[in-house]
Amino acid sequence: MNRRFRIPVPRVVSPLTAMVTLMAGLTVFPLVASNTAAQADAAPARQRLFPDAGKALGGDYTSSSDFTVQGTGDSAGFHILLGTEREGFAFHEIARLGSTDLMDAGPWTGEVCTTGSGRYAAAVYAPSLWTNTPGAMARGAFAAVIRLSDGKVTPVTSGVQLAYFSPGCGDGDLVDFTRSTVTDTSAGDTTVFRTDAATGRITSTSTVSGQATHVVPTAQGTVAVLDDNLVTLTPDAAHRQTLKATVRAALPGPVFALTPATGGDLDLGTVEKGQSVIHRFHAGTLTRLGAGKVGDVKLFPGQDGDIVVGDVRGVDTAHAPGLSKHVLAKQPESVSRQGHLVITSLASDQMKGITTQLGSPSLQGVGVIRMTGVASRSGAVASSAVGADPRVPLSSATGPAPSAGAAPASPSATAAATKVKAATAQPAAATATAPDDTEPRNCGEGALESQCIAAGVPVYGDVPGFDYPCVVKRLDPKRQAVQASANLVEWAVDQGVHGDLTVQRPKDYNDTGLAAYTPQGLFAPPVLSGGGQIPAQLVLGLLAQESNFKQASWHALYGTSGDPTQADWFGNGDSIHYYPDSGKADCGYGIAQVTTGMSVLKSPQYDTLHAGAIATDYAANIAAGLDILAEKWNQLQDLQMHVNNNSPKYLENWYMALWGYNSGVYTDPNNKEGLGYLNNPANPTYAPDRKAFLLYNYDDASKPAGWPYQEKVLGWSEVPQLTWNGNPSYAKPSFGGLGIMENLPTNYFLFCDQNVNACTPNAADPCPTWDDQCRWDASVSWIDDQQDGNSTREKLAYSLGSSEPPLQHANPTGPCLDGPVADDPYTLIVDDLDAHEDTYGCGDFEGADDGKFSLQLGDNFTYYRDDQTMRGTPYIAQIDLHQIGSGYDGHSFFTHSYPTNDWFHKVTASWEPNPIKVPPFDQPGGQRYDVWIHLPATAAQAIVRYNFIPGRNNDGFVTHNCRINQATHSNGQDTWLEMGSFPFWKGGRITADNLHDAGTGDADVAFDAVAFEPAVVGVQGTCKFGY
Amino acid sequence: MTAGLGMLLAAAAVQVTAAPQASAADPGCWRDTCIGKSAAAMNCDDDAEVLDQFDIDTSIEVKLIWSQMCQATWAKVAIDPGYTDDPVYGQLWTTPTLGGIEKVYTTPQLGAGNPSEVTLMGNWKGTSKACWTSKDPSTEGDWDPVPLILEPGTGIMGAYTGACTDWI
Repeated sequence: MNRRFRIPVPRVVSPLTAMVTLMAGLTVFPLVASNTAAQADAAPARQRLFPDAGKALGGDYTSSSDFTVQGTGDSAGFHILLGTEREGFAFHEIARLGSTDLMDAGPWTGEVCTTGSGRYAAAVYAPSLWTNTPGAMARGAFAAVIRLSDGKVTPVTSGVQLAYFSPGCGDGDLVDFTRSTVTDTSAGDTTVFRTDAATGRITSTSTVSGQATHVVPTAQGTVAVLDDNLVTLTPDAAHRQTLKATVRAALPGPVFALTPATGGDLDLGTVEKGQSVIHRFHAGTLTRLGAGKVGDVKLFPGQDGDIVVGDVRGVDTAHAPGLSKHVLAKQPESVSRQGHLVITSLASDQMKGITTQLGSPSLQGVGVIRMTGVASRSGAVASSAVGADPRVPLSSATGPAPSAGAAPASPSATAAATKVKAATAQPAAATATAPDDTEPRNCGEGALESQCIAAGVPVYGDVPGFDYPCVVKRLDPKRQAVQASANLVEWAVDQGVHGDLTVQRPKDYNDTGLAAYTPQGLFAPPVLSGGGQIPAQLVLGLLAQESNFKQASWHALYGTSGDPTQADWFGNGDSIHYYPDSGKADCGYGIAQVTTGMSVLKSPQYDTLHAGAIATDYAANIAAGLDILAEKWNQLQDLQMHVNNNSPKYLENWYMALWGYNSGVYTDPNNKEGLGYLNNPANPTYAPDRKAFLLYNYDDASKPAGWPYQEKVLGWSEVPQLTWNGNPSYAKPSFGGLGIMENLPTNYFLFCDQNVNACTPNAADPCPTWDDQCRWDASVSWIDDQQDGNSTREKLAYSLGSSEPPLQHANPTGPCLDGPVADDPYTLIVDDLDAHEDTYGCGDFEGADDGKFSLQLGDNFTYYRDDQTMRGTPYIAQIDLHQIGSGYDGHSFFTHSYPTNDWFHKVTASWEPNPIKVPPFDQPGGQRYDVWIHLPATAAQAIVRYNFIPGRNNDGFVTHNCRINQATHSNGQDTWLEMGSFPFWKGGRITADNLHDAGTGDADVAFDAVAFEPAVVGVQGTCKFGY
Repeated sequence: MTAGLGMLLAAAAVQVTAAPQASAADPGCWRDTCIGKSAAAMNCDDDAEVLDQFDIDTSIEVKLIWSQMCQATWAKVAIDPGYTDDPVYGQLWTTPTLGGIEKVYTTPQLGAGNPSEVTLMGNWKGTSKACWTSKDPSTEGDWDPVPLILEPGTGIMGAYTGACTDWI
């Protein structure tokens, strides 16, 4: 009996995807015309921000030339949106920035500005989670320019700074990108990449000593804020690559904005005495124009001058030519070029914590960008949703991937015991070099290397430096991490902080082969010096910030499994183009990103049980993370560094422990102790007029580089991330008498004292040495008479001792599935789990004799070239290979499609029926099997060539090929696809790889199960075989 | 085919295509535990079968052999005892089940006194190929004579240094 057996699997649909409505309008700028096949969907209809545009914008709006460029990110990339007034500000996506070169990048963040000419935009962008590495955003982002007329993206360089003051768009088409070498012990220097946006080329690269911010090209030269001054930067006459800073004016306070005005003047926004103050710099003199409530006054560049918006009634622009103002009761985020529209909110829904079917061809659930704006003329407020345009391709960054771990020196005295990410990589060079996966033309007169080595090669063997040192390896079916749903995480945290996380994990839990354990039997409940417990919401906020609640890879939906999530498995900046660097791998595992004990390069290391549990079990991972957080608390207690009344039950009092959790606690008594300057709230890297993270809305989550780590965690502890269906992932804390919010310090100079850390409060550059003098090592208090009525405590959602709640599944079917013919004992099913067939208890056991599945990576060998470089395709091919808890019996592998002959990314799968089941070569006819392939519900997207290899035979039967479009045949559901009947002899098999079609690295290629059903008569099947 | 090689190959064919014997000794290893061991010493050749085979004219015969009992593979290479054109070494190349850097077991150089050699074993659950090569491992290192298969139409530049079965 031959029939297709299709298992219906409901597709995950975010209710928030049903949003984009109609009303297409005229456009000034045409969209990108070059669409790929995968992006052949229709463009989403455009929705005017103002449905009644004439009333909101004025009757003449259709003849307006005003426009604005906005940027916001999610896991689809950093979206560049354009809105024109003549369309009623109907925004649409013109470009999407990201990188197909990175594995597991997750959501993206960035900043964008528009050049003075109005013809181009410039953007810096990076994966959001990279911002968790202290100092990484000083030199860890990508840079690109976008031509607004058609959305053409030109990548500029990598390794640039991502901060609220960068990039700097100036007169004409000039843009300044910067890179800072700042660390926790040094201001380093700042390199300025002057870029011509019209060509996308860097026209000069020059460096100034110190941490320069707000670098902007103007008609009068490059201006910046350096030390406590407004300066101009000019090339040194003797050394053109060195910039000389000339002081133009002393600054009265920390700067939150610097914009060119008209006539060579500049306008600055500073924070002084609790107010946001606007100044005009004219003819060498700084003049105060007025002030408003701190954080509610914003200064933006405009088309002909600049624009000040918000609480600006007190700002006098009468004597400031080129500066216009718009009074607005809300906090502005940005403004259109002529000031007709003020954006007050802009973020992707996904950044609220919503996650969905990543990798889906439809980008379901991401790219849903919500926006709120105010028409300056009428005061009309409107909101709309903008759908990412499926026709807009992802523009991938080029050049060396910046190291996510471009971190400052970690506290040496505590490095071994802290969670500090230990990468010491210097940022990638700006000059592009050939990636490691570029096959050289060293064969004869310019032929590819493969043409020469195909005739034989001495195999070098293993390359230890290309191994990754993490204790638990990727792609191990025995080390799959289940993606816990939010209810489980909250339950585990509630139990764990009180020492009740003692759920019994039986032996071989989740087929890991590990001994039985309990999470807090492995990792003892946290013990705080002086007693007390960690508040649950503090930990929940930390997990939200560290991993977005992800124990498993971003590819795994909640309820399914995948490799443990890691920030940088291979120490190569997550790049799929560079060899692993064993010395730089992060080895931070799971939902709490536990690094302690998880690298073979550091002692002590966890044993198999502890390490395996950290990698695969969210509860054990949380238990380990609690201990690390407690360690930070205790280190500060030892240093007599207390917050408020020092009671651990108040979330506010963990401010400094969180600071140390991220960037370390310096405990070496031979050096200055305390907390480093990178996370000091007074650090000029963070806007001095910023408001508390997430205080107003979720938008802040899309720009995490703008706040110190501890402020972000406390923000998430107060404002829960949302689940896939928009519900809070966890309960809010008890706010006591405050009712609404945590009692956090609003004075960002609270940790700045000349007598403690050589720091001058309210200065533009509070601690100009940026070195260990700037470490904070004192107690601090901002809550007088601290008690429940004025501070924030935990609120448990699950009673202590309660049992583990049920895991919620994105995919409620499976993982155990039937074969193509239910209960047929004669059908051989060769699944991709190979020797670990019983991960989900599906009844396929090690030793099963149906056949074997195997993978091969690249061209299998390493070769040491004459020029002393290495060809090591297996080390690169492994990077873009993933396992995921989807498919037949809950597991499949997937990679992406690449061009033919791309040996560096080739992954070959083979399914072989057990040779004992098929006849030898001399038996006429062989054994006919009707062949079925299983396509998983996720990660089946590409066109794949399947090779039917009959095995050696006397019948003269040869290999046949059959191309299958995995996407159309699976349609997002677990599917058995009947390929047709084919004869096999011993050694016969099916193979498939990820080349063979014009792959671009985008489409998923799934390798799952193959079934061999004995057939008496020929079956045509999809491949039209019938043999 | 010379008479010598013909007899040798005929005998080998009988040996490796024989059905498993009911009286076969217990296998001494299974999958991973067979790696690097002798098929004969582990009794794995009691149920040996050929997975793939090719001949170079009548001079060289290369077989990829497996054992169901041991779930292991090895290579068997034979030459016409009178063959003197090239040095001949037999090889078994293997990669782990989920891929990795290939490893090799190489036989001593074949000759008139030892016209047939077998390699040590690999795990059948990985991927294996059997080869012959003219490259002396003591001077040329672990030489893979067919490290990759180019797509049709792509020319190979260089002299052939051996041949292999498919990866199976």
